[in-house]
Amino acid sequence: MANLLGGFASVLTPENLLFAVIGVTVGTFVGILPGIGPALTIALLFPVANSLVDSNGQSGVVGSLIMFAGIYSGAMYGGSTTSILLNTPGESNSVVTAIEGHQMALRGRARAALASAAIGSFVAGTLSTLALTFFAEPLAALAINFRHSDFFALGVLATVSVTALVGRSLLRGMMSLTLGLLIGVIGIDTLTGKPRLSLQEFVWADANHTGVSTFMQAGIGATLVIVGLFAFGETLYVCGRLKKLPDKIAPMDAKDGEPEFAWMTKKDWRRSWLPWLRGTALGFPFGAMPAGGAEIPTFLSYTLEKARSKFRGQFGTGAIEGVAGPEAANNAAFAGVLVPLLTLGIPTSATAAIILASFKSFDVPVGIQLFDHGGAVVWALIASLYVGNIILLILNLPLIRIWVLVLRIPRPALYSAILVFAVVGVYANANLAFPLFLAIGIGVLAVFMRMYDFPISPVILGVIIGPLLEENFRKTMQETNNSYAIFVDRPLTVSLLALAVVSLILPNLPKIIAFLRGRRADKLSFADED
Amino acid sequence: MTADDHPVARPRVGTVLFGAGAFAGGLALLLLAWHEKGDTAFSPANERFAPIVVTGLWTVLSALYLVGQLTRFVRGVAAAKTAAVPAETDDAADDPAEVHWRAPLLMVVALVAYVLLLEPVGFLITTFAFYVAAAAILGSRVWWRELVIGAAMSAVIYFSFTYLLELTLPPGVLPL
Repeated sequence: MANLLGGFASVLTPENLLFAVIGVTVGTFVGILPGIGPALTIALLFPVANSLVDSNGQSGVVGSLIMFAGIYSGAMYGGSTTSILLNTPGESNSVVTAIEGHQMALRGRARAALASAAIGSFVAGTLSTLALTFFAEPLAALAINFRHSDFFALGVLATVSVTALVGRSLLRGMMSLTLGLLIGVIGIDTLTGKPRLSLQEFVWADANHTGVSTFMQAGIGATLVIVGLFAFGETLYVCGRLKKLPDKIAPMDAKDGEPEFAWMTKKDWRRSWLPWLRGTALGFPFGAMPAGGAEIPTFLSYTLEKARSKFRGQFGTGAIEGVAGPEAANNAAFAGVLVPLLTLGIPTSATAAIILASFKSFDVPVGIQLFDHGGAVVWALIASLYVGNIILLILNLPLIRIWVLVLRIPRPALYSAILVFAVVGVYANANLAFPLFLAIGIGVLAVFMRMYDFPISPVILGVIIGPLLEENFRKTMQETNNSYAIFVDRPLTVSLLALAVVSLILPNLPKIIAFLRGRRADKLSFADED
Repeated sequence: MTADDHPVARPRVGTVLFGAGAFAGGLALLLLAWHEKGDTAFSPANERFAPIVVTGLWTVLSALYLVGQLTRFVRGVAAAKTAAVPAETDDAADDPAEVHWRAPLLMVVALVAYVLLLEPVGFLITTFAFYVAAAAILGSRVWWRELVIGAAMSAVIYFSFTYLLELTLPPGVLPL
């Protein structure tokens, strides 16, 4: 408790409070905007954060991480606004909210849907942060017994399970993951200092001519890959499909006969509070699992609420439970995702992966070392989640009309600005033209990936978890004199690897069962991150 | 490994070409990784192991993808000959592979020109020009709005990065 109070003391300084406000405001903004998500935003803000850290040291680290966490949680809130008013999720985790939320909006109940989503997000965000407060440190302490083989197996489980769930084809998902792993091995090997796949054999790439080889030896950072895949890739793809963009925003105003400020009625409150709690109970544990993410709990919450509701007949035409439950699950999962990230250094979403990259960039350890040596940072981060939740509630209820204006930003202006910020973000990191060409190349590749239904987020996970996997695998091999026996002898390693195999098979079960019955079915899949 | 199962039944040469490119690229990278290994012993604990495993895995997966797409293509062509391919329906309108290439190609050209001119001409001028060009490519016809936003945005970014964050952006030909 003393640690948490210390965290609050740190967050409630004017400077850090400002970072929290900036973070959640930017997060809500990008959550609302289709085409730009929290992962890309954090990647683009890396140069700014590095500048802050260079000039302010430890306080810059705390401020930057508070801002990043605010962006992540703010995007969860903002995504629901776009889902409800535009029927297009502003970020991937709000897919389910669109089902009932937009129907409510079309029936003149947009405010009730927005309020249920915002209050549910607040309840879930606060309760799940409370769970994070109590569980994170003991879990990190448990991980002290983990060996390199266990961390390797855990990394395999996280990457494989996320990959198996996003996208409709396991083959395409695994190709995306392998592409990320491939990008991750490029550069100087951290254990021996030798360059790998860095083009140093080629004259044109020599440092004296273009700086390409020097850049490649430093490795292709996650920031560049995220900017390429999400900023350039998304914008180029949108360029080719301009006529297919949704542009009809549902009205915010109440229908005739209803009071002007028709937020939630007593009946809406009665129908929402239990789904909020059930959504939280689903979202936090699922978010904390190695498969991570908010997609599964939001879908489960929707199914659960539909099955339990007395108003089942309203589902599909605007049932408030279908907004309340999934939005709570969505926000609870965010705090859950922080559990493996902070305690084990395992990211289970693209946004978590880029936050992990920022920890590394700022030399902040993860796992039990984070609580032992980086206590001030982590408790300030956790305290900022409580504060951020309150700010977000204010931003998303009384100020909702301002956010609706964001949806009216003309698409040409929006996407052109995204491209400019992307170029600035990459250039400011390296002061070199080559990374920009590389990012544009990755963007073109991402267009084909979108066209041919390849999921994007496994690439990011591969880039960031790949080096961790390799390091732990090689250290295991060094410890065991190149014996693979530990992967079948050590119970924890074997269990984690077995779970990885199960997670590969599980989403394909409907397809396998349908095949055995002589029918066709798609594999279970969830939306990719943006 | 499951076979690939794209929902659209029409024969599509794009996926075959994409698969062929992925396979060829994988093979080239595998050869590069093998070349870098040189005389180093092949041991799971050394630094040459992961590049070979990963490039090898990519090559195998892309080969599987290519074979899957080739098979679909051949079946699709055969079905088209017997008029068994379904006519385009409303669903086809939402086909994610349906992309009109003119605008993306123009945008890539604009981006490449922006990057090439960024240092010699400078951030302010190139960013302004790129923003206006990109907005036009994306379909904007409100030229005065884009001129104002382009000028304001490039100035705000340049001066805030240079003077507030002390990050370097190229001044180029302007005496800044």
